[in-house]
Amino acid sequence: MKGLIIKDLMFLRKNAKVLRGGFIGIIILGVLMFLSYKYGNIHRWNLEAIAEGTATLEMQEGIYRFVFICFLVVPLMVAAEPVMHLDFDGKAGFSKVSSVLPIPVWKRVAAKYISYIFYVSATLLVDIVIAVVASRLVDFLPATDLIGTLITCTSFIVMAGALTIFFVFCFGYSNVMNLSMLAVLLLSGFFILINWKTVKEFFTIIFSDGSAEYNFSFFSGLGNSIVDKSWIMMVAAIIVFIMSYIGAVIIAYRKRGII
Amino acid sequence: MDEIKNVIEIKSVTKDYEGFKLDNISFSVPMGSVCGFIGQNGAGKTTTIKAILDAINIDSGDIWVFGQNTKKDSYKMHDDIGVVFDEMGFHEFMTGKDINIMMKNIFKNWDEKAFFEYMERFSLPIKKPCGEFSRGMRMKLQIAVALSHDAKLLIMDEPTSGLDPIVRNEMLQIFREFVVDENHTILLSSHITSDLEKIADEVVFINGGKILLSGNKDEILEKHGLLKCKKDELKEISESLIVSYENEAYGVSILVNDRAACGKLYPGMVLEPASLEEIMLFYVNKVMAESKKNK
Repeated sequence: MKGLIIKDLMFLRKNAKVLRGGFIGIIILGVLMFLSYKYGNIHRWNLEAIAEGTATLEMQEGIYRFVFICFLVVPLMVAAEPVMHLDFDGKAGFSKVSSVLPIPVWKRVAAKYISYIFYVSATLLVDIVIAVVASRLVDFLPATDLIGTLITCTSFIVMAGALTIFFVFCFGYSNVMNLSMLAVLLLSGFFILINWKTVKEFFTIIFSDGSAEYNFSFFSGLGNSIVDKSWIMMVAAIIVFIMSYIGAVIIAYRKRGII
Repeated sequence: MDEIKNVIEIKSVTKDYEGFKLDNISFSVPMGSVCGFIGQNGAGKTTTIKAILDAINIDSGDIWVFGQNTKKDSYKMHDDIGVVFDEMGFHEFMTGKDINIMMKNIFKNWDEKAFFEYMERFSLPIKKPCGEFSRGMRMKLQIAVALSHDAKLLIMDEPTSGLDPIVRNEMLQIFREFVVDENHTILLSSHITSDLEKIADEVVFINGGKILLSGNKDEILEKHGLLKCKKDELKEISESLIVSYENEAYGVSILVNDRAACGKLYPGMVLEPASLEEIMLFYVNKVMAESKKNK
């Protein structure tokens, strides 16, 4: 099993340039945003809004906190990229090779899931560094909140990845990208349904005309909600991950290990 | 393992796909031999190999490899089997070094030194991604991997197809060296019969999912012969001796299944040894003629 995980990590090494580039880009963007918030245009707009009485400092902090939470998700999105290693497996015909290795099927399936966890962990590590630095620089971004956000986002990514691997085992390697999109859409659809009220409110504010008042406190509340529900997301991720693995093992045995 | 006579034993194996059926096939591969698995494209060679490797569910029958039924924990036997496919299967970005790192963490008997020696012998660059290798190099890489974990059985599915004669010859030489050890066995599927004629001890002919003929290659070549005669002489030949015949410009070419008896019975006719390819073609003709008759 170790050999298979190493093979997958070699893929990560091959894509290191892309990942590094992505992370550096995000860090540069973060620094620019921070400078603008502290000394630049964002800072000026904030002061003007407070002077005009259209927003309070608390409201502004709420919305920036929400923006930063969204911003934190971006590095984690990079974790979706290694789902491509499944695509590479398919293109190379590696399933043929792996089917004749002296490794039981359940371990071969486990290798795919463990590799994915490694990918997510790598991006999570970068995100934790960003979160810690941000919480030191900005008062209204407490580290605990950021960690809560990271748990929520990581849980979503883990669920999406686990579902993608399961779908690939079910439907084959020919459409990895589409299956990955299907997993994300299914999960998003599920979370939209269970948070329908909040989502409706969110889009009402986003698409409201000029006469409607912007409810800044809503974004602050949404940020809090993401943080508060982190433990539920983590439990959900663990359950989905385990269920997906069990399902994938059953499928793999049915396919005589050609996975 | 020393007590095992046949490394592979296949008994009454059936696998029914839509449009193709592996039909009650049985044969065995003796230890220390090179078994040529001959058949045209789509004859069922790859399906049989997949069944041996437990990569497909068979509908009925049994397969034993090293005396162990493949239905039970087949992955354990893969430590002793080197497999070479018609396509490489490794990721194109992987180098020889990468493959070595991966494999030494998979096979308990992986011999790093042997692997790099094979890489050097086959003139394969260890730092070059294998996606940049030619077809011949890719096959050699697979063989290097298959030979570097102390495999007792090599199973190869069309390893020489699409390769030039020089590379093919080089590969056959490697296979010969492998079977110098009498505990080593090869099952080599190919439709290039000339390769098998050079190296095989045993041959198994498969066509349309059925085994047409199997046994010792020399015995098969010894027994069969090509009898050349005029068209009107055909009816004089005993039907029990004829496998099938082919009309030619100046007469008939008949594949006979008992060359010695033919020589005695028809001394005036030209009787030539038949090659494996000719034997395969005439047997396939026979099957086609019979199926036409049945329709």
